[in-house]
Amino acid sequence: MSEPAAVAQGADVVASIRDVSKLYRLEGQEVRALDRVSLDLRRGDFVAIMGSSGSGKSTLLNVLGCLDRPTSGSYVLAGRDVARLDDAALSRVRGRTLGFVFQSYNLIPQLSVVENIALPLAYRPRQPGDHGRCLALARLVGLADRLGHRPTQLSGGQQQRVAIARALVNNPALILADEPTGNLDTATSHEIMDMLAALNRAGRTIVLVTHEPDIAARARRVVRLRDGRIESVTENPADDRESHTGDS
Amino acid sequence: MSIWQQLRAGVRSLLLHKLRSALAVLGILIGVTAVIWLVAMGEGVAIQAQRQIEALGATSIIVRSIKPPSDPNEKASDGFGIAYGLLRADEDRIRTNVPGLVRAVPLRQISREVRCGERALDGVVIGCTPDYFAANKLAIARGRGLSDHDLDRCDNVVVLAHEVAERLFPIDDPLGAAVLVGQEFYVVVGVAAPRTAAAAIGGSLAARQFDRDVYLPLSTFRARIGDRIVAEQQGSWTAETVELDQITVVLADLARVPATADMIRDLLKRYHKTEDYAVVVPQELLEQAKTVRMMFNVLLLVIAGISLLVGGIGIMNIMLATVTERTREIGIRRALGATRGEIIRQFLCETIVLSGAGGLLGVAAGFLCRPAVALALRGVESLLPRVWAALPPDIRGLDPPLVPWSIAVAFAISVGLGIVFGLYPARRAAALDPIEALRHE
Repeated sequence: MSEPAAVAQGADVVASIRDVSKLYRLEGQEVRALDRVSLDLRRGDFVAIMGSSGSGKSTLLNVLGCLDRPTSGSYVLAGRDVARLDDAALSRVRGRTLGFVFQSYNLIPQLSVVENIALPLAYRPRQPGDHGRCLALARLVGLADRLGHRPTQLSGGQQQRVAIARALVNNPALILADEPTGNLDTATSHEIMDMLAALNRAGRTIVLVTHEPDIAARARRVVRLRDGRIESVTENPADDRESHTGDS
Repeated sequence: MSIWQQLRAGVRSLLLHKLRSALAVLGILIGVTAVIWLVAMGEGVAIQAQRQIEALGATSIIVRSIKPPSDPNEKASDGFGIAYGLLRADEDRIRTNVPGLVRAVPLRQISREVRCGERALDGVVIGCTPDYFAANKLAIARGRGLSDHDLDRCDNVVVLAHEVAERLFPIDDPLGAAVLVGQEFYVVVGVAAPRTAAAAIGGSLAARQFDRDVYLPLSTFRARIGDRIVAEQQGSWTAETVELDQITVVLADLARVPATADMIRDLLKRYHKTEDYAVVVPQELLEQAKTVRMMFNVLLLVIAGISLLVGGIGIMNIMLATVTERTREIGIRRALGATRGEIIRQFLCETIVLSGAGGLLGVAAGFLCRPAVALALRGVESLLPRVWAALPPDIRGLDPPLVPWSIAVAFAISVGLGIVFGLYPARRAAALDPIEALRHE
């Protein structure tokens, strides 16, 4: 889980977007979802993206997640320019360098816990330690005793923990969490946030989209978007980010 | 993911909707079974027909007398009744002119009562030469067959068909006994072995039965019964003069059969004013039967193909529903690294599992064809005897053999259908935008 802290300034940047714009055509009208946004994510960064609906935060997450290509601008992810890759290459990038955590967990209902965790591994060549890795991650998120369960047999918090384990299984350079606590009650939300914070402390780079200030407060930096532009970037003081439940 | 894992994953996904998957499988099953059954039945009927034609002998040509349509203006050749048909001279002409002739078997035939004491039956009296037995593959079970000696002396001897002997002599030994054929007594010298019916020849559709035959030497037939047959019909007397009813010409070389048949037609044409004869070539019937059989098979395959097509459409329908229903799953997989190709492969795998399962079960059901047909025929025989009697013998004796190529073809087509009809839904799944798919409720 732990990675050596990068010292070199250049190698320190995991993801870098420069002047990224995204235009949509909606009923003949051009909508500028992102307007020349630039953002650097360093290794070990923990960024919360906030903004009202329509501010472009989903579009930014989709671009960062290689689910969408920017209309203009560059995106270098883990040392590779991915802004102009084709669909198949983007799929490979997603499968090998990114981890996703969604608001509605997005587990596949017919697969068991361990199979859901292993899902990203299905789309890359098999490696010898794969199964052991899945088991270790299940243990990490506290679900070692529910490996054979189906997602429908788990609570929301448990499902999100499975999703976090799944996001880690391919050892991603960047974890993208899209409102991961949106469907959870307060106590469970903090549990999940504790888990993400712990992963960040262990060196994971995490981007979190949320509209809840107390969730955003757990990140190192908060990026506010408004009308497709970055309105402000604020650093959270370290003591504010402490866990409320403190189980990590 | 390996193919094996993918197939397993496919089965798991399909088991989420057991009834729906089962119905899709059923559609293919019926199609595959239809192919195998229909081909088997077509083959069964064809084999029956072919066997009957082959029983006539592929190297033989059969020349038969045919009563011409009555012509009131024409004077009967004999002044009383009409004369038609093959002549003894025709037989001589064939014997002298046809090259490569193995034998020419002339015969006369008439219906007469055959009686022994109290027991009697309507028999078919056949005047023939010793060659007749060889030409018709009739074996002698007891006693002896007709000999040249019998013919030379015009002896009153008779050989009985197996069934006739059984009817007239249920207990006693028929050999040496006297039977009354028409008004004359004949001494039984032999009993033929049982022989199944042969195919119809000429214009008549009825199969040639052998079970009511009594065989006389041809010369005895001529001396005792004669060429002219007088019969009372609706109060008036009619007479027919026929020298020979049939000449079976057997050749040594199969290849010469068509040419020789043409030659015999020419030869007879020269001596007969009206066409009071027919030349039947079993080999031609055989060729015809093969053509008919091929057409039949094509027809059956078209029918079976249609049912497979319907099964394929059923699969496509179900896969389209599945893709719509699992849009979110597709979005998840795409987000987690699946390429379009991998999504296509996943859904194709599922359709192939469906169609392959249908194909395998269809082949299994195909193996049931023979017992099922046998059971159905036995059912008709015992429950609906009247229907049974009306069935043509080809159907009554139907024993559909399993045709190996039909199994391979049916199974291959079913899997192929899975690919063809699965491709469109799979491509549709792969074409989904992952962002949209993830948002799908």
